[in-house]
Amino acid sequence: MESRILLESTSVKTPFRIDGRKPHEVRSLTCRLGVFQQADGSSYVKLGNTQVLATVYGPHDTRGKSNPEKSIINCKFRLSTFSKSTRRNLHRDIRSIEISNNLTQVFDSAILTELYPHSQIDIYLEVVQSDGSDYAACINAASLAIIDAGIPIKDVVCACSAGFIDNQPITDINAVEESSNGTPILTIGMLPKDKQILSMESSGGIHLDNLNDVMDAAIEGCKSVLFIMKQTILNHIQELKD
Amino acid sequence: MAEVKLSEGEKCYLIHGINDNFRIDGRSCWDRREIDLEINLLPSCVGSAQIRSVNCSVIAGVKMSLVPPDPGRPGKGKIEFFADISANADPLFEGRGGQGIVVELVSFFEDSYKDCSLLDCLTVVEGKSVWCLSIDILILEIGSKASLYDLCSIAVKAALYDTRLPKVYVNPDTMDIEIPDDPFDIMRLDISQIPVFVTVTRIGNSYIIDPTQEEEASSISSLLFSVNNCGTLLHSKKLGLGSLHCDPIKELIPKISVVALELHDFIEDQCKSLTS
Amino acid sequence: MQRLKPKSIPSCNKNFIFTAVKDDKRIDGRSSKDFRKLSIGFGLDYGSSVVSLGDTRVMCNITYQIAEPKAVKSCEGLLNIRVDLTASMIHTYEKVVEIMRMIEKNVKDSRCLDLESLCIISGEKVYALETDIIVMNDDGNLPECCSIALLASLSHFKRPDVSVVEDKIKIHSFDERHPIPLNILHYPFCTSFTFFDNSKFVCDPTQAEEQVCDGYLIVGSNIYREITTIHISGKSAITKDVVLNCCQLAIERSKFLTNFVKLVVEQDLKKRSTEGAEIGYAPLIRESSSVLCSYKKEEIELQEVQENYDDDDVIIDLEVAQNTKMYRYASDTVGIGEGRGQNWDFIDEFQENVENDENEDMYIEDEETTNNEDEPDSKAKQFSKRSKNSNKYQEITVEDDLSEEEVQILNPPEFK
Repeated sequence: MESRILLESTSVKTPFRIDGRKPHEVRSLTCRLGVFQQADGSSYVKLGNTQVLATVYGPHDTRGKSNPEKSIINCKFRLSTFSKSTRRNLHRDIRSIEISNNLTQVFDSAILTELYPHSQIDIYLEVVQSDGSDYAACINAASLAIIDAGIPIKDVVCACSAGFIDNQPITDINAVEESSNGTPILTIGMLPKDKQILSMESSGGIHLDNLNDVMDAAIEGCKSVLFIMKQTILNHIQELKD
Repeated sequence: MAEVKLSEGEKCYLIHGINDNFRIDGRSCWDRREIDLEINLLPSCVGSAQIRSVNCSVIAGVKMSLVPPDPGRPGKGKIEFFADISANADPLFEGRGGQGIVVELVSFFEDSYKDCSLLDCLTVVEGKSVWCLSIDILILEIGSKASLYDLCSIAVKAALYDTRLPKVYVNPDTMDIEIPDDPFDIMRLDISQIPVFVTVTRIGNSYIIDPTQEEEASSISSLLFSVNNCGTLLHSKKLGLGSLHCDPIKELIPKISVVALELHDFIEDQCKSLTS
Repeated sequence: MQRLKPKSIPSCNKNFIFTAVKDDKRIDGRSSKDFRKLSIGFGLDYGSSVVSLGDTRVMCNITYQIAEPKAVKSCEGLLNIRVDLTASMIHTYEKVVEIMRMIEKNVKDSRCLDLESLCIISGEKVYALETDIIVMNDDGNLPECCSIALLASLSHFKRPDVSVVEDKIKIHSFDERHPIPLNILHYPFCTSFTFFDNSKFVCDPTQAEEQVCDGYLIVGSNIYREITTIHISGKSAITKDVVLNCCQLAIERSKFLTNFVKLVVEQDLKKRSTEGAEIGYAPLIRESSSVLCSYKKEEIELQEVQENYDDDDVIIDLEVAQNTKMYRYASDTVGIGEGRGQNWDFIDEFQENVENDENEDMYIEDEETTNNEDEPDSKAKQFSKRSKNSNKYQEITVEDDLSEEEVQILNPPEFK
């Protein structure tokens, strides 16, 4: 078993992570809206090497029973076969279903579903390349796709992951840090204006005294992500106007 | 790929236009729409390519592994295909919705590549281990089914061009295989023999290539050909439900070779310009 | 296999629960931070346990196999966790996955079990533990109950001793050599909190509270004050402070649970070593107050209960109430008053009887007071009357021979 130096301290006090980032640095984020013509709303998010495509279809008629009070949100998450270094060929594995469930819950609370009774909104996420923080990238991509589709939403839902290595809270985990043994990881999806947490998933043990710092690191990461997402949205609207 | 419903009047308009070699978007019968090609976009694959046309988008990724060969073909490598339509294309394809289209696609690919000369380059130690290339095709957006086959074949050919296989050193005494650590000690594949697919669709009295969804909805049937770079037709398949006369098909064949050669050249030029 | 549809909750139930939670009260009399009664029982085999938390009942069985380890982790044993929710058929597959992943993350990712001690020959043979968690009854708070069951089973489980002689593995039976317990590094227990109206939350929710709640938070924690897993879901918007507060409560609960589980396991192991002691599920089934029998709910104190009524309720005059006749039409149907007479032209036999027996009415007793029908006499009389007038409605009459003390004529309840 190799031992990896995930955090290397140089003579200068700030430690560097394995990909050269400082502990509270989020990876470079690029987003694009409206990548597919046929979908009602679509987006593409590239967070470091993690690439996610999101499409939104709806609101449209339900295929089965409909809810007379609000719209049904159907969210499906998929990792494509070549997304990770080992080839996977699973159609419905447990982690994908878990993430699909969580995403459905998040957007069920964020979208104003009472405005569209007897209808259904489909959100599809495809991870083309996975390099850590898949769940956070998916929340961001889905949020942008919903805005592109023009569906009313309470706020721009943003998400970021955080971890704790060598007594240092770090923001935005990549795949190497995720897979190393014993790294606790925390992903928070939130409504930024009210600072309300819609989803929080954590695994690995975080001591209660450090939990506050790790949550703060994730919330700070969300702020940086939100800034870029808002800029992308404004640019897209500007282009549409011209 | 929402099913387009056309009225009889619209179909009539379309067919009459094609009979005069004039399609609704201004192209002639044998004109193809613009294709955007991008290679080397997925770091986790040894080769990858993305094709974008007007309303069709396909990503192909190639992964490799060392496996023992088929007992009947000890000197040939293996190529496996796997295709999937993402739900992004249409809610119909959620879960296993796209299996119908995908199964046809994969079986045609496997038939065309069965006797490809590329397989000979994939041998490492004859009879003991060969390279197995697993090609994954992810269809993100579909316009018409006929043009899908063409674009998938271009994506796969470009991904194979981009494939970087490590050079394997075989110890002649012990027959041990050593794979070097140097990421630049690679060999590239010769893709000249790889076939491309050309689909021709029968509308009215003529055949066209690269139909739009409306044109496909008013068509009778389509023919799919697999052609190599010498212009030889390797495999063929009929798509759709209509019936076709033999004589027009015979006249068709030289045109198809020309179209296929154009495609081969296009891919080579694009890939060369992207890698340089 | 058809799934039952989940029962929809009437909105009056929902409102009741919400209003009660605001006052820190719950339907079963607990406060918002109280937990239900927990009991754990063990079966004959090592690693088989049944846990009941109130009415929620979960069974966990652990078996082992010898298998090849994963290529990446060649000197670690394997732990497979499966959760079976088919007994409570109202849950969708998504819910099953949620609970399964929760337990997996809590136990596997927090590395509470020392898997390296399960290695026999590195790279070739290791112990693979198969845990089956079967939910026998779901009355809310499944994650907590399942995690308690799993950890109780893991601490109870013993594997046979092995010796490796020249690449051959010899597994010793339990008689030859003492079996070895598993090496558990820490006990991570899940605690559920459900939220109503954003800031109010309750611990250990029942099924009704779970279906009605706005959102929930599940925290996995251990006594070393480590938070092993957090899962927030649902519609409630929770702030950071609430999360930290809940984590504190979860740690307190874990402390209690860790001591409880260790104690119960010790007691059971002691029982096994004494001769003639009863072990296994059979004696538990015979006991009336054990984990395998139904949970007796505690009596709710009603002294503080006030009667509330809406202004929309119709207030009946006392005189009117006292003079209204009540008729029993069937064993479970009673009519107050009789309505107007019929305008149809046929003669109703019942109508005739009523006019004749004007002075023989009896008010219906309240349920709390003596149930006259227990006396064999009156029952027999009622039956005989029924057989005589089988086509007519049974009017409640007072028999002349019964003394007044046996029959209680009550005034109708007072309305404010």
